[in-house]
Amino acid sequence: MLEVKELKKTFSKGFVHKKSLKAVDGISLTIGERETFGLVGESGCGKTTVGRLILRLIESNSGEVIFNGINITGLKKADLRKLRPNMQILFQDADSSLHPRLRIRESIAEPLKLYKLVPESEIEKKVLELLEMVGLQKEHMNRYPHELSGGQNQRVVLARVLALGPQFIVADEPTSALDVSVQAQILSLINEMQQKFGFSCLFISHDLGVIRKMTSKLGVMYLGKLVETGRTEDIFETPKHPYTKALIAAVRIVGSDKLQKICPIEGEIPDPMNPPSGCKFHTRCPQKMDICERIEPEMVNAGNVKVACHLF
Amino acid sequence: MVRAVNKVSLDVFENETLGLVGESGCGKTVLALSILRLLSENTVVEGEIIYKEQDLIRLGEKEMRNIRGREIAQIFQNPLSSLNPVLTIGLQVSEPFMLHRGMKLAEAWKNAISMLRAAKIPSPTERGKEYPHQFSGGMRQRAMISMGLACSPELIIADEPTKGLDVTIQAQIIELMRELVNDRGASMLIITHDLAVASELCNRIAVMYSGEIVEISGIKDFFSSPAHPYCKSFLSSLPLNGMKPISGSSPSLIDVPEGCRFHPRCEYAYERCRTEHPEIYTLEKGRNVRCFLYA
Repeated sequence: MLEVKELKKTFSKGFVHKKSLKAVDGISLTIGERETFGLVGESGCGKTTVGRLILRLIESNSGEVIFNGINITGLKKADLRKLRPNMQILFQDADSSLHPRLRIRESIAEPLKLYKLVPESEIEKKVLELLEMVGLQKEHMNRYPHELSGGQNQRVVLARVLALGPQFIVADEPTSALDVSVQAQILSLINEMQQKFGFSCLFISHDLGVIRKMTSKLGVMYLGKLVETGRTEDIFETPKHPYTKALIAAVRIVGSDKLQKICPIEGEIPDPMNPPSGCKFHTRCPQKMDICERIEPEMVNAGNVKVACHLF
Repeated sequence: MVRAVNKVSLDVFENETLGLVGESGCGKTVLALSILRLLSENTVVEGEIIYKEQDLIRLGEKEMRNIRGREIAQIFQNPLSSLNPVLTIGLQVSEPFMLHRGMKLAEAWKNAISMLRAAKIPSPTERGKEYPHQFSGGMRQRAMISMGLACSPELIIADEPTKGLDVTIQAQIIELMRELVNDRGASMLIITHDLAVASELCNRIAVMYSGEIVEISGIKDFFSSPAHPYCKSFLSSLPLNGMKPISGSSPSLIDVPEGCRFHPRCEYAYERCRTEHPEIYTLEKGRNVRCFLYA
């Protein structure tokens, strides 16, 4: 349904002394019908940029995005616009993705009017239907975003996205600003809506617990590159890349034995403006070899998954 | 007027780490700030805060200053806004040494650098001369921890010390706090919304809901058999525990429900819960629960 090939994006900084940052450095992935693909990594690894590049909210430097057989990277603005209802995004901060001076009713009605999906006379009815579907009531229709809680606003955003009947949704950390019990509500709602409408989803998160629960396929990113990709269960059962291992080991299981040492890797993510040579993870890798400093590993098959590491 | 914290009682014993857990807006930060009397002047704090046989609420401002940072230190959440942007990290960590230990800058600086080293900041001599914006989120948190622990306080209040950090960095910070606190034999009150953090650092856990403590239990008991219905639901709403949502949302503190504050969302609620406010009941030694099921 969605195929991404060798997507690259470089941001540059400075005027006289130009410096460049490879935010996304050759990402390829495929997402099937009704499938949820998870993208996980630490902050600054480029996962949000991937989501935005796929939707062409920012333009890529090279690579292709093929959506339902159409190469959208070369599409003209007007043609892209026609495709927009099919591909939507849920941002992490729902409060700021709603217009503060529009009532909830107006926010949800906007896409319906824009794409003329229902006749003017039926908009009110449709808005109410959408609101009730995401678990809100009629009384919320005339409220403003600041009068609702973060969880309720995320429901409104979801209703607005679903109004267009998209086939593909990028969910960019949709619950990272919410409390756990509210997070559970929103994630269950997304699951339920996916059952009902059958959209595919790129689910971006730094929370491995959430990723494990929500996705069937998974890509682990580190400094703009995928280091491991495969079925979510396979990766959680037997992580192969040292970084994936470290990430999974860092997931602190509630109620686990507290004497267990939980510090899996030393150091922090290197400066992306000045990334290490060879394998980008070698500066923190516990299994570093000589070759890692010199040569960047290619993606290879290792059992059920694909890994970019010289160990394989 | 909003009653942010309602009749909360808890003890932190020597060499103990107590976790204070709850969702946003439940009053946990307000409770922490009230201990060191850091709330704004228009707040009314009633009750007693007994630290080593003295009541902090009735202490003069001058005596209070001697307690802050020296006896009881607070590690605030969001280090970027808690650190002074125009002073170097080294100077900010030196400050407690100068204030409480009466050291001159040169000596305080030396101590500050060794504090930064203890907090595992790489090349502390050079990094000490840098400003907060030159530090990463994890490094800033390490600097905050060094500041808090500078004068070897006996009680450390840590407010969401791992908030906003990546998982691998969170793990490093937790490991560091455990190490430093154990080495110094200090007590700690750690405030967090993250049950995993609490389960790793604490001996006991206190759970707040809507301005009240609903359960205090030993860490093992709490995770193996949470007593209060809210704690049960809270645990099973975690993604890896089944992600079962709790219906409804936390009440606004301006308009709290009558009776038990959790009753509108509680699956065990019965008539009494709707009209009468439950007291704290002792379930067994060291386990206290605010719920009629245990009356």
